Amino acid sequence: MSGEGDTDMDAVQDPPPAPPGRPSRLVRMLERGTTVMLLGGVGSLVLSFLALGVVPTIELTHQMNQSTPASWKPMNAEEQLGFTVYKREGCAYCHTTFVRDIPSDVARFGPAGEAWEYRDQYPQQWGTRRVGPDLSRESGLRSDAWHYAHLYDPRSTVPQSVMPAYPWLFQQQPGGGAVPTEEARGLVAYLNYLGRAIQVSGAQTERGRAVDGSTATRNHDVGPR
Amino acid sequence: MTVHAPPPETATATTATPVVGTHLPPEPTSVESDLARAHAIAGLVLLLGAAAFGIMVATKFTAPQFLGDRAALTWGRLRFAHTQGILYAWLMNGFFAFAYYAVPTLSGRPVLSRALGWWLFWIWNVGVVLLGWVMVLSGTSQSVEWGEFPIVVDVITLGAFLGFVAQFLAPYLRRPRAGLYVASWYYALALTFTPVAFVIGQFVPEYFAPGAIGAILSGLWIHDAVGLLVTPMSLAIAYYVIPAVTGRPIFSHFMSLTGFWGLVFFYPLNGIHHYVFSPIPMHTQQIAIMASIFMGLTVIVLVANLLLSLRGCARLTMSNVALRFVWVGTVFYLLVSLQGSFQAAMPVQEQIHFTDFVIGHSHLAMAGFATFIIIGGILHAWPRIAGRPFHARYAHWAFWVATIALVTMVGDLTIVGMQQAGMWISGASWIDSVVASRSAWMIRTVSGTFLAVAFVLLLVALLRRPGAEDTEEAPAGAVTSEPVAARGAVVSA
Repeated sequence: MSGEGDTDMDAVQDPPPAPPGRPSRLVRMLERGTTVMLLGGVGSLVLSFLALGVVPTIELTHQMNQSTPASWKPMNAEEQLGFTVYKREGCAYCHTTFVRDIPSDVARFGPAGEAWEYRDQYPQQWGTRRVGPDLSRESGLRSDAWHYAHLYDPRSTVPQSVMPAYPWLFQQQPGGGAVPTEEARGLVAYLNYLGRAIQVSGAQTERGRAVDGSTATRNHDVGPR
Repeated sequence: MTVHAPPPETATATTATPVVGTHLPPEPTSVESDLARAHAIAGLVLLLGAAAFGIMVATKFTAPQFLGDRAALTWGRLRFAHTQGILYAWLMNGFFAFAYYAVPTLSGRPVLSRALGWWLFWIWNVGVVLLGWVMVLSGTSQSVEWGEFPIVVDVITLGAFLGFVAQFLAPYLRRPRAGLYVASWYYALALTFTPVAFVIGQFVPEYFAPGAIGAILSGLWIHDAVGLLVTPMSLAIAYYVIPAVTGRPIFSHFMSLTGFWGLVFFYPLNGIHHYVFSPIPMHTQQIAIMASIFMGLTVIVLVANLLLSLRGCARLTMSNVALRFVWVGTVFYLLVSLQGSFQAAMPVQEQIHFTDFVIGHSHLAMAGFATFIIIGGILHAWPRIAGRPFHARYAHWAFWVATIALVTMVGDLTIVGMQQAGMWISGASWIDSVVASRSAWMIRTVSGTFLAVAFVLLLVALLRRPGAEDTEEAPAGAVTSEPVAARGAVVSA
């Protein structure tokens, strides 16, 4: 009941033994449910995860094992707590944490991201949108007091900021004022962990060096970003 | 002009042969009406919730103090609820609704179990959507893009999805060697590919693959959700509705095959293009970029086939609002795919990545391509699954409001995205790029609100009993009189 010569292809390719108007064996094979499920659904899944999942994973593991500097340390408990808060509040949806290997990114934020920097992040928080600036070179850039003020009321430090305030990370004091909770302290510790390893060790590879060959410094915007 | 009469299909509900090749029977032979109706209505009602989350998120861009400082209504958590809501509450419900309408006819067999269907309906809408929303808003989530519902919800989602796989693949598996119609290929592809991809995307970066390795898998999942779930489920609807309304076969079987197998091969290789210039090995990024460009070429063939199937049917697309939704959704598919190929290229990526340009792209895909085609599918199926026609006047209004709102939103985000890119490269202070985006962000909020208004109109169109003059007119002047007239009869019955 299919393909009564309604396409040119069917008309051209009918070999004599096939009944007139029937599609070729290849076409009939490709139309089959089993072909679609096995070759299409399963086959393409296996192919894509081998080619773009397993192969680069092996490569990256090898590369990270070679390039991780001796000074690298995974997050401590406080930074881990901050990482949890960072994930829960969706920070990564406005702030990326990887500097791309292109001149404008490196000039604004600092050395491009290295694979080993992220080896203790489950799951990674690279992000795909920048409403606010990248944070992966944040370590030591600002005082803890600035961070607390900014988290409590972003407009107090950057008047035109559109960042949400996070007052529930602070404890209101009876006499006015607020004290950072454990979560806020963790979050600031995490922000100071971001980029510390590369600061200590210096950018390891060609990636992450500014165009002039020097390891870029964090010479992005002066003042509040 | 070649007009093919449809095959003399005399099948009854349970013993039909599967639909093969380029033809659809003029009438669906067996329909799970109540399950289809329940999923359609649940999807549209929950869509209003997902859209409301989106509007709140958009409003906070220009009024960050909006909704106070409550943790549950903060920007990050609302965004989780918005994107996950669009996928699980709206798109998936819409896909399931149409599958209950189309799969029994396409496969010639009933779905696995009606009782299972009702279990899945409640598990999906309560155990996945509502539970997921409550959990992410109260602070239990998983910060993986397109996977923000927490692990416990992921487990329920996986179980329920496997139930749907059984529900809709069982009819095909009863005759596994039978040839299938194009729409069935897309169903079979999405249902077999997605479960394993979902498991890898949700669980491996969370527990087993840190950092850059996790990013590889997250990138693959972001695009597998879009390319191997949302896209084929939408295309199945397009390949069903277009020939069903016109009463003519698909333009070219060869192009159907090329489009399908091109998608199968290239789409799963696209995902890493979300992380270009990242620490992921460069040639992995390059493969993804090349696959993205080949995907665009494939979509040209695919969309050309669908649009050529409509040749000579201009009047029908004007009078039949269901077909018009599908047709415009197909055009959006072409645009969003070409845009995707374009922006995957490195010189473009370098500039527009991380900007609102990409947000415009994703809205064109989800609110344009997928949403328009699902709405078209639901409207097309409605007379049969609800037992009465929809209110055509409201449906036409919904179409125009949705189209204008969406085009405004995408155009607005595209323009402001390029503006942000220019400012970032210029070295201007970061906050300047935020301030410069304000008016565009306001336009986005307004256009998003109108998009939600269109969804309300659509819900009214489905639920309100039309008067005699409010039904779709039988398209008497259409190209092919026979099957179309038969369809018109159903509509006004």
